[in-house]
Amino acid sequence: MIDERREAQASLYALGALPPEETLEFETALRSDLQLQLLVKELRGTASALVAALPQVAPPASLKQRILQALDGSEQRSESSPVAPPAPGPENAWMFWVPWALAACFAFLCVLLISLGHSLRQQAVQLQQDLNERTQQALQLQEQVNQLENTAGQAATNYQVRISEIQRQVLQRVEEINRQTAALTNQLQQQNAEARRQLGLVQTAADNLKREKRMLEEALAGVSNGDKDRINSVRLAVLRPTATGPAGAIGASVWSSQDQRGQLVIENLPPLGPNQAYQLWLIDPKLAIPVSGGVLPADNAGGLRVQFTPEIRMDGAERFAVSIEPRGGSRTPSPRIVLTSQ
Amino acid sequence: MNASHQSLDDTQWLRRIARRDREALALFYDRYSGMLYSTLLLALNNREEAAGALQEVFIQIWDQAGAYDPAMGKPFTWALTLARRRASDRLRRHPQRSHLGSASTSTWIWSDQSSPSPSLSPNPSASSDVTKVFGHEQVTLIRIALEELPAEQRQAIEMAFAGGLGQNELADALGQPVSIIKARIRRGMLTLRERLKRIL
Repeated sequence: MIDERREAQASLYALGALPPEETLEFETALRSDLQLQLLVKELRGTASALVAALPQVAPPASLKQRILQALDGSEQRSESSPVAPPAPGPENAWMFWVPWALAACFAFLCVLLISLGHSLRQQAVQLQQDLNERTQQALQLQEQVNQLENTAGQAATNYQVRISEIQRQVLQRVEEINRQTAALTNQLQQQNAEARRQLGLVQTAADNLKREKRMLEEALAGVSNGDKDRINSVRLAVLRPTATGPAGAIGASVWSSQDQRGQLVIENLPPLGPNQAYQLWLIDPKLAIPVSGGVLPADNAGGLRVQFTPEIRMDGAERFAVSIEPRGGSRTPSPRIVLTSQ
Repeated sequence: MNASHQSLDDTQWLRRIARRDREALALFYDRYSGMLYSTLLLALNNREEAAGALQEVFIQIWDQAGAYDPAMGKPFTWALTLARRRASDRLRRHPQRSHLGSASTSTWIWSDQSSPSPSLSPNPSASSDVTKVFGHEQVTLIRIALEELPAEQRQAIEMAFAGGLGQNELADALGQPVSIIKARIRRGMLTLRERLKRIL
């Protein structure tokens, strides 16, 4: 990671605008930082691209030739030409050879030094090329490291995504199990409630049967001993609420067709308004309409015990019913039947 | 120009120049002298000075091609660095020649408007040299990237690039603290790098 200060220095360096005192420090850092080298390389490339946007002016046509000639001059200057020595006089002939000897030594030394310099220069060039190759290799390695880091980062990301996916699936499964558990619990509670309700119904039915038994026993209690031999002509019936009748009401009747009278016991009839009354009806399938058994005087507790006699003789009364009628009773039953026997 | 030279890339040209191949230098000159000369002319504002500096640059390329380091940029980038150093050296010797030292004269550089100096009038054949190197599309993208920079960033980069001004001289010329100048150049250069990365 390159900080902003180095980025600013690299930008100025690429533009040649970094002052000398900072350039030295920056180049020292540059040598040991491959990322910074890469940044500088890219910024230099960016700076060089800016040339494309400059107004372009062609150089003088003769400049190329001048430069090539200057190369020739440079090459010629590098080859030093020997200066012609002065002619020696006869009196100092030995002195004639001294400069030549010195020149020969100097020339030999020069050749030696040039050879050495050439060798060193070749070595320097070779070293520079080696350095360039190593730097290139280092950059390639850095790129490989970056690629590996990217690959590793991508793999880590993939694993994290996979882990997140598994966590999400586990959470979904847990939620599904919780939902199934809640549904099963609810179903069991409903079944339990239904079982309790059915048990309650069974108990209610048992209670009703007990009450019916008691009613019948009470009804039988109203029959005299002398009449017991007529029991075969007596019809017993239990009156149960209709669909629109009071749920808690129940009744029983004992009817003797021989005596043309009967006994009726009812409990839990709800009280009626002042202009209404309960009325008993005897039903003979052979007759077109039911026959009134009389208006029933219900007490405040909803219970009654009455003897009844039909308005006309009834030889085949098989069923009994109680309806709500206007006060004083009706000639025919209204549709509001609240109790009926089977 | 022979066929083997024509197929070489810039780095191979420099290697041949390092081995004293005059034809390679001539080809390198044909390819890049226009852009280098335009850069020098913009900085020095004098055709003779620019031509002299360009000659020095190519002599330097001839002598130092072996020292070229590919790790630090492309051959043209290296040559451009040499050219801009030459321009800076000459401007330090003759600072009055620069016309980029004031903030008011720098914003035309990368615009399509006409040059303020007759010596900098664009040359169509030289412009075609640029497109030979960069291509029409790249030149267009480079111009767009520059035009989209905030004006203060572009101005600072222009003056540093073409005027050879250091950060302190830029701060003086623009009347801003050095820290502001550095921040503008950093943001501008990083933005350009991102926008031009695809084509460079």
